[in-house]
Amino acid sequence: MLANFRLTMTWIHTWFGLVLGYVLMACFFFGSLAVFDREIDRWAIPDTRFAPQPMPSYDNMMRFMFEDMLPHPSDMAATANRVKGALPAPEAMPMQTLYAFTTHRDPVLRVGAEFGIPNEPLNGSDEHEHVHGWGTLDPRSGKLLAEGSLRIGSEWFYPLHYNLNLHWGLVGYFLVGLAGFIMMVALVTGVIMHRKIFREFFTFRPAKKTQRSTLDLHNMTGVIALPFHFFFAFTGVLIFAASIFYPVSGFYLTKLHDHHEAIESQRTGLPLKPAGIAAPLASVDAMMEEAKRIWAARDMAGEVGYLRVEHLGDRNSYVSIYRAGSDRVIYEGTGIHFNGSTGAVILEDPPASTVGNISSYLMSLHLQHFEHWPLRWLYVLGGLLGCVCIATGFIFFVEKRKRRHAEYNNYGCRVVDALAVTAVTGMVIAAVAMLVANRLLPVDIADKGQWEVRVFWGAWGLALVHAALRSGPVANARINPAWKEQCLVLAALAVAAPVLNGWTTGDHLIQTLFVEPFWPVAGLDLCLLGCAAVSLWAARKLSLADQSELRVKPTLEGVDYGRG
Amino acid sequence: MNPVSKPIPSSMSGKPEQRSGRSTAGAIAAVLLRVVLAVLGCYVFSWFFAAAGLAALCLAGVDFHDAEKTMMMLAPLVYLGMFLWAFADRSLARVCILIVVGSIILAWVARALENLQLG
Repeated sequence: MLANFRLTMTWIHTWFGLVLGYVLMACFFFGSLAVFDREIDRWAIPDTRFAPQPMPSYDNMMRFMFEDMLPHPSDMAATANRVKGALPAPEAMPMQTLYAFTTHRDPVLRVGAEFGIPNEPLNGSDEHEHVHGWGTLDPRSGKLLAEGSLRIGSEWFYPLHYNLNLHWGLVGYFLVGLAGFIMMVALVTGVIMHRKIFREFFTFRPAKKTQRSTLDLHNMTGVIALPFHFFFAFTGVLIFAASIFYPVSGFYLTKLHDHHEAIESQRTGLPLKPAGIAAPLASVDAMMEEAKRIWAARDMAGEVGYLRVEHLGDRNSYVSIYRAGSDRVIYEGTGIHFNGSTGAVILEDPPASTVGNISSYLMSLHLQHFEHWPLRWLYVLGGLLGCVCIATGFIFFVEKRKRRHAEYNNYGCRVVDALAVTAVTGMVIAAVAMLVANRLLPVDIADKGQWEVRVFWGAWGLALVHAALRSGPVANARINPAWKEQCLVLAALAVAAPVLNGWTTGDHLIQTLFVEPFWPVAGLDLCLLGCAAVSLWAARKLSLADQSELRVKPTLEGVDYGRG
Repeated sequence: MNPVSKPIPSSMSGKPEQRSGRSTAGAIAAVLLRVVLAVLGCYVFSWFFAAAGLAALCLAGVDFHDAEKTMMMLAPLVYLGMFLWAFADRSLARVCILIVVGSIILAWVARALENLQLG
């Protein structure tokens, strides 16, 4: 497109990187937080600060909880808009499917069910003929946790990194998917642009001009973690490829898909449809024991991670029991499927094919269900290096152009810089403000989680407004003071959060580190304090840099920048 | 020397090259068309590439899920290669024709191979 190949690649890198970099910042940062999502949940919901538990008894505990479970009001409302006629009363809907899910890091379980409805869908191609119910089970009491509290880690930060928590069709997924794709593009074009890839491993000149040292840091963080960045962008796209980005079998080759599904159903013996004849469920505990015995016999002893019952209450019901993926990279489940009414094994999942193994190895490395704490921390480090790489990309863009833009009265740099402030310090402020709000809001307030979400977006919005209002100096080729000011706000918030945690729950650092060690909470408190220290250091560096820019200002005099 | 007045070569400014005989508006339109072709056109191309590949692998006797997983791993990489080529190729007309015609052919091949297996 441009004069030569390398300039074209540079153009792609600059402009696509700039536009989608803001989305990528959120993906990398909240993806890094998602590595410890369960631990953040423990911090945010003090009632669940206890050790992870294995899958509890179905016959003696979960059965009674499922008997009381009803369709969720929010899904009732959503379904009512999709079907003809009025829905039956929630109590009258038969439960058809149920599930329970836990991991080696979960003290509480996710449970849920699907309830059948007689209504016809408005859209003929809509095959979704049920309403969902869900909850969080405390396996100590067998009771569901109170509604309204938000698991900030696994229900807010984690989905934010793959759909931005935008619930407007699939827009969030596609934005993140495009951003992930552009990350791959930026890495390939970045390597083509620079060529001296080996030298950039070792090049960082912090004492040079901001523009030079920013570019060094951009290249260094990009190159050091290049395989990590490419891998996570690629596998992130891969995880949603079949369901969202390339739903070929669901939307185009549907007949071929249904044909193979029918063949497979015959081969596996797992009934696709209920028989219409009522039958009770045999002991699920016995099935879980049998599944564990079969895994042990296959030399892969393990705990139950996921339990699912299909066609509940029907003669065709079957129970699928999957392994927790704590001890190996591939999270394949190795399901054992039982006839629900007789309790006999219908099917043992065969070992995966080569292609299946490659594909799930790639995705499992991203999803990280296995237990490996040092690697977990390396993931955080890699994610944060990605953030540094993207953020320095923004700063380099601004540094390279701000003098020229100042001369021509061009607002481009001001806008990019203000958005960069919002995407860097603003984003961290939003996350930490949410944690502070979590500790300040009264425990018994209805929809407490919704208020935390409002604080999150509110803080982020304020950071944007602040960065834009304070962006004047960028028009004079100087640093936006919002960088420093937001660093100071962040430091204050990041100290306030652990202090409030200690004050409201009694789990201060002395308690969680020494008296009764509880790493999920202690770890987050320490990270917050570390974040405060880095923010203060950054604020101090920014003050020094601004002063030194003021000292060289005489050389810039004589040009009217049109202050604005 | 005043650093502000330093001239910046146009090739470094990130603005698309303006060819002689073409208006600025035309150049911008050409860049926009290329962006649309690269982002959407190449995506559609890789989508039908996945479909055609899935149908072809099934016909060759590969298990349906294995075929699907293979194509899911290849499709984003095909998108990546096509995307970079859509910018690198000097001829916008060629990019346009190859993406549009290629997508139609792949969609047709996928459907034809599907019918072959079901018929």
